[in-house]
Amino acid sequence: MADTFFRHRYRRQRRLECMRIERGHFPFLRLALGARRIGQVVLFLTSVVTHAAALEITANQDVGVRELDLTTARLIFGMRLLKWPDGTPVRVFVLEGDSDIHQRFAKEKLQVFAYQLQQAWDRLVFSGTGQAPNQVATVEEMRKRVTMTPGAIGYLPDDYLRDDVSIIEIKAQ
Amino acid sequence: MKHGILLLGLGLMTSVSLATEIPKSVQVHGFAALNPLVTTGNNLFGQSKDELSLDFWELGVNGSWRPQQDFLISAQLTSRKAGENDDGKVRLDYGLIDYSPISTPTLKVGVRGGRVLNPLGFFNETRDVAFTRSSILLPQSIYFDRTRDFSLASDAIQFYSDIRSDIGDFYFQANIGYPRTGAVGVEQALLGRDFPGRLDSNLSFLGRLLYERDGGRWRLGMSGGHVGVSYDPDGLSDPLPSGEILFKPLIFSIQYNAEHFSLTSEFGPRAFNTKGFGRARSQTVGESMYVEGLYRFTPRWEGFLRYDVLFSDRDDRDGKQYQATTGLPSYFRYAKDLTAGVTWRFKQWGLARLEYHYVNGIAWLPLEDNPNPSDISRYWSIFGLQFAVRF
Repeated sequence: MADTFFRHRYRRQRRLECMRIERGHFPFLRLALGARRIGQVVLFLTSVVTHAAALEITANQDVGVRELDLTTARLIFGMRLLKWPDGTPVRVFVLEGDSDIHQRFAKEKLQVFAYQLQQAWDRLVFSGTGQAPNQVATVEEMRKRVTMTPGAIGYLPDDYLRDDVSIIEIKAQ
Repeated sequence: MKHGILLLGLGLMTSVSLATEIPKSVQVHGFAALNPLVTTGNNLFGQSKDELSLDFWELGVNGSWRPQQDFLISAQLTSRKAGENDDGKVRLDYGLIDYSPISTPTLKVGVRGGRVLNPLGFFNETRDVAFTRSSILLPQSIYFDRTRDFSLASDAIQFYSDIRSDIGDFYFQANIGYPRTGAVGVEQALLGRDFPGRLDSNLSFLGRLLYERDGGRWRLGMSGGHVGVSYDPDGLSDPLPSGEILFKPLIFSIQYNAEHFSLTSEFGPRAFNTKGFGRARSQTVGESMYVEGLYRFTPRWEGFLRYDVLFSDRDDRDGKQYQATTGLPSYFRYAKDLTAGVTWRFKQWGLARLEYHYVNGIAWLPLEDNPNPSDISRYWSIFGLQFAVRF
């Protein structure tokens, strides 16, 4: 609840800032803003075409963590760190490896490529030294499973976010 | 001793799993691959010379259970048929108990016991699983299938540690135990043919240090071993007196992973010492090296090009001395393999591959399918197809 509130407030602030600049008398800025608006339109169109909504790492609400550094996030989704700081088991949920959302998640959030994640899981699973993450078929299933499973972590497009999951931010390093 | 470790592991596994119903932390996975081959010049994994051979396939199923986050119990059964090189019998590939008392974001320390896969190079542990490879045949200079059973697994204790730091992640593994022997191919490859006595492994050491940077964009590895086997003759009638063989392989591995391409190379010397067998002591150092470039056209389609070289004796790379002393052809002592292939990963659960090898020399060619040395060709080629699934 608090997270959603902060997000809305942040967006509103950004909008206000933009308007403030627009009202000023800086022709260059206006030009730049014009270009930005065209950019936004293009972005909007591409997102309509590819459904490329922003992604967030999400967790079950009982997970006390709201922020992870990149290394730890990679360890968790790489199935190498199996416990949250309070000792509860981590349950990792992912979409199918060739889904666009999964590919984007790997790249944007973990800064690795989806094939690298798959290789890392395969090495664990087929050498008997680890286990694979739980795979879900749809985004809706991901939302439900993360909401319902204690210790769960996954990822969701922005438009699937509800108040019943927490968002985990990747800490800037 | 070595069977002791294994039995202990298996015994614990069965007693624990019978006592409880199947919990959520149990996973079952498996794989299967059929690899039709046609070759020219020599047979590979079956009667493949100038005809289609369906005698090469790989199967496996594994289960794992995490009763607590610090414990893992896992086992895999595999079956591999490869002409006369492998008979398709079901084997315990690994069966182990893993305990990691320390597991934090910066440090993990643990121990595994039972039948453990040997940490050698990038691919040894998963060498039978088509999905973990870029090709039907792994580069044979490093992962040669002549002695595959022997190099694959040990009945051993493995200590491991992961250390994560600002400059990258380090993964260390060390095995102490007895490498698996027993399959026909091992005796054939090491002693020249299947003798009546027994070939048993001695207490051996294997280890690997891996370094990964930037989430695996760069991967560097160094692995090595000190692995011994002893031959125990079957009474006085055995034509081969007792003897010992000691291997000291060393493998350096390097990989760069970008979005659309990966470059991989592994190389190293392999020392091979013999003592006994009614002959003078000898030491031969072989050399292995390959370079592979792989390109991902899309997440589903990839192609690769590889050059792979094996010299059985680095002091006699062209095999001329060998030819002079044994009378056998010099090309028995090297193999230079140029390979190209494409993979279509049409689903997460399935892939199809097409691959072509042009090979000069037969240093790694399994001889079981080529029993007559005079029929062996220096220049030969392999056309391979692969259909693989997994769950």
